Amino acid sequence: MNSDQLKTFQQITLGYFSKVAPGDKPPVLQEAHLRFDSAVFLDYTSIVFITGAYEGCLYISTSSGVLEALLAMHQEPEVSEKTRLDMCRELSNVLAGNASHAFGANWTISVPRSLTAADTGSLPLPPSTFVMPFLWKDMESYLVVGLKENAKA
Amino acid sequence: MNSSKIFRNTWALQQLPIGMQLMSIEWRFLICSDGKTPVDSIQKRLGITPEEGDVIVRHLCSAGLLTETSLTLEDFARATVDKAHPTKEAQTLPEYLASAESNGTTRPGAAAAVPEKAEKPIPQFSPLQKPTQSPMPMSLQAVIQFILNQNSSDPTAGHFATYQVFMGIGTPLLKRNGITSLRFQEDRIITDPELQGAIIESLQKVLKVTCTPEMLSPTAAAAHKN
Repeated sequence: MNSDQLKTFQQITLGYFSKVAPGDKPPVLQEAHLRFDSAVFLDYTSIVFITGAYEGCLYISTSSGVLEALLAMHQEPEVSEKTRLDMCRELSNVLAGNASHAFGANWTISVPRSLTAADTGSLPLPPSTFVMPFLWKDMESYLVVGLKENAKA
Repeated sequence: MNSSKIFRNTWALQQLPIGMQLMSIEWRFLICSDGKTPVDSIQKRLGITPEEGDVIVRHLCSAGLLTETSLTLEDFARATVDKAHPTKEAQTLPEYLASAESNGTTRPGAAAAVPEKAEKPIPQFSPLQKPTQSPMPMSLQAVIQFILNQNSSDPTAGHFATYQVFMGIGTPLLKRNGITSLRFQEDRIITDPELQGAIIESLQKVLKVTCTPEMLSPTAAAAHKN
């Protein structure tokens, strides 16, 4: 993974929010930071695991508010746990597609998973994560890359 | 924490990174930590409780600003000059020091570091032991700036390279030094030689450049800012 691939991944993932709400202010990346103790999660998380020169994961973690705003953009009248999870699954598919597009053939990308905050505790995550917060509709979400050396590579 | 412990600054005040911030009481504690005055004397001077002093010491130590030290024989002996019992009998040095120690008068700060048990003829200090040399302090901001400068036209690349460098360092080692997260403006002084070595090793591996401790010193961080 190199920084060009990472930027492509960033741009197309944030581009999804711009496409869903073309009339709104696009998402704005905040200053990234690194975490070494525990990964950061909000209410819902869309995640894929990747294996290549490194192994790890890519995920988007959002608040309920972000998913509800996306539901509204999709003209979905029902706002419930079920529809929020549906929206989270759509984000997961977007994430997996973007990861395939950005990182190409050298990486194996898992089937995406959609999780609530309660499900994230048992995830096998790398100890270090690169957290890229972004603001959309004044709500913060996280685009996160977590990698570690691939013992098999 | 034993309040008779003694701490000293791990490096000169003029070398501190310009942007480093501490609470006022922490600055005062740091400045008082001269390698001779025990914690209880500093607490008394600053008017803080042992619990407050404990919190401050832990914070300053985890930030790499303070390190525990011990009195030399010379420092201890000097502190007894005004306190020893006058006697007409000849004494050996241990007898002289023991008499100073058993004197009921308030002992000077430096001597307070010696264990108070009267039955011990010779206080337990580290005679003739030179204070341990700290390695050259490393500034976390200098490390970050060094990495970012390799990618000066592309902040994202610089940030991601920083992640790759720190990804190559064991998280237990980082956490042992109080580093659980890292923001790119943040500074912190690293004195742990193991962590310093791991940072240089990972940095050279990821960036494929040669890097010396001098390039990552607080002075280098200040130069980057200017």
